[in-house]
Amino acid sequence: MVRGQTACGDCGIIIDVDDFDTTHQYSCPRCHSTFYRPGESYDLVIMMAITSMLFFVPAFFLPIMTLEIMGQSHSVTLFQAVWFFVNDGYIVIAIIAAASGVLIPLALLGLILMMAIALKIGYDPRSISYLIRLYERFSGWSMAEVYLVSIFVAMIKLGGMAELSLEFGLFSFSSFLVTFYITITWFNPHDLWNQDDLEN
Amino acid sequence: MTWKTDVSEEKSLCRYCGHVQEDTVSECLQCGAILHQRIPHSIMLTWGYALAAVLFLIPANLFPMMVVTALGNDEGSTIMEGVIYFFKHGEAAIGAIIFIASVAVPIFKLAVLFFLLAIVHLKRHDKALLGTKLFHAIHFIGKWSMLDIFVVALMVSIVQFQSLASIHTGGAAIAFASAVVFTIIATEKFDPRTMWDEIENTKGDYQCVRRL
Ligand SMILES: [Zn+2]
Ligand SMILES: [Zn+2]
Repeated sequence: MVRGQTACGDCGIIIDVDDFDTTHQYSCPRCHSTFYRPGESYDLVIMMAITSMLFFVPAFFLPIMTLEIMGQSHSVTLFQAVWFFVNDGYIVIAIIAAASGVLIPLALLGLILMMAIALKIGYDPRSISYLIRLYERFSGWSMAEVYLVSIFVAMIKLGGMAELSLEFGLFSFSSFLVTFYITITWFNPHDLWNQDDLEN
Repeated sequence: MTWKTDVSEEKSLCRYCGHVQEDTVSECLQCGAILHQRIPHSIMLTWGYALAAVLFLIPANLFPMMVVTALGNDEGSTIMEGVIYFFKHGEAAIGAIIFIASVAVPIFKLAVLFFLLAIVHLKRHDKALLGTKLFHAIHFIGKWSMLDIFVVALMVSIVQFQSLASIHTGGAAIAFASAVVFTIIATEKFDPRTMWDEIENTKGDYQCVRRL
């Protein structure tokens, strides 16, 4: 809980927070790092997380692009792009790319949904604190936005050897990314412990 | 201005829930997470992972990122050759993006990490504010160095669908991915509070803050 007294996670000073509320941003007087950032209500977070998950399904299973080489055309889905790479033998790279580009963002969304819904139906935040720790551990490894840009770069590179056209899956993946970012910006894990303030 | 710190007050902060408690407590009283006043072995681990990243960057730049086999010819291209290819073919914007992501960002990130370590070792508390800002900056941009790895991963899987050309990952891909991952771990292990610690000892009048 931030109310009363907290410490700055970036420089270690003890900060007295006398008039704490969950609608303002608080930063450290010594190193200027933000130590509290307001989030949105969990109802909004749940709605946005569900929207984002709905975009994920077509993003993953519908073609993101169609390649045409000498009359042969092939549609590529993200699912195939993630899966087929395993055949190349560089399994480590396949796992890193699939995990950080696609799977970890999805897992973070799932964790946010579980935490927000658990709190809404009256769980004690203590009983789901392992979910918060999982969330914090993985949040630094989510690279979906880099993955999206890499799709465009790959398309431009392939443009030299094939006819390319964009497909609906790429639009869905972009929408997934935008709603995913809104969700993680709105979701503030520290607010699990500031429930009294959110009620007001 | 005098500051009370978690060290001087013998407190520790839970990084998961923000609760502050006596530093004799080993598990957070509010959420049950394991507490450390500072990240354990922060400086040593940051050195280790950062140096490992530097070592992996060498083969990452010498060997090809991917090998294109077209009509029986093998053609490999390193990171810099890939960048030059885009500049030559009039795609300067993409060339610049790949150069920033694969060359500039990793070098900048490692340079900042060594600068932060120098601040800690040389006790340059006057640079702690700048160091903290740089620390936030490398957290934000670090993941972009994975761009070229993702491009290679995508190209390999996409081109496997047809037989005229095939693309395989070169030796540099695994080295570069390791360098990026080690740099991210080095950043996670670095505890910015170590730059601010012992600030009391450098300015005599802050000593009175410590209560026993
Ligand atoms: Zn601070
Ligand atoms: Zn805690």
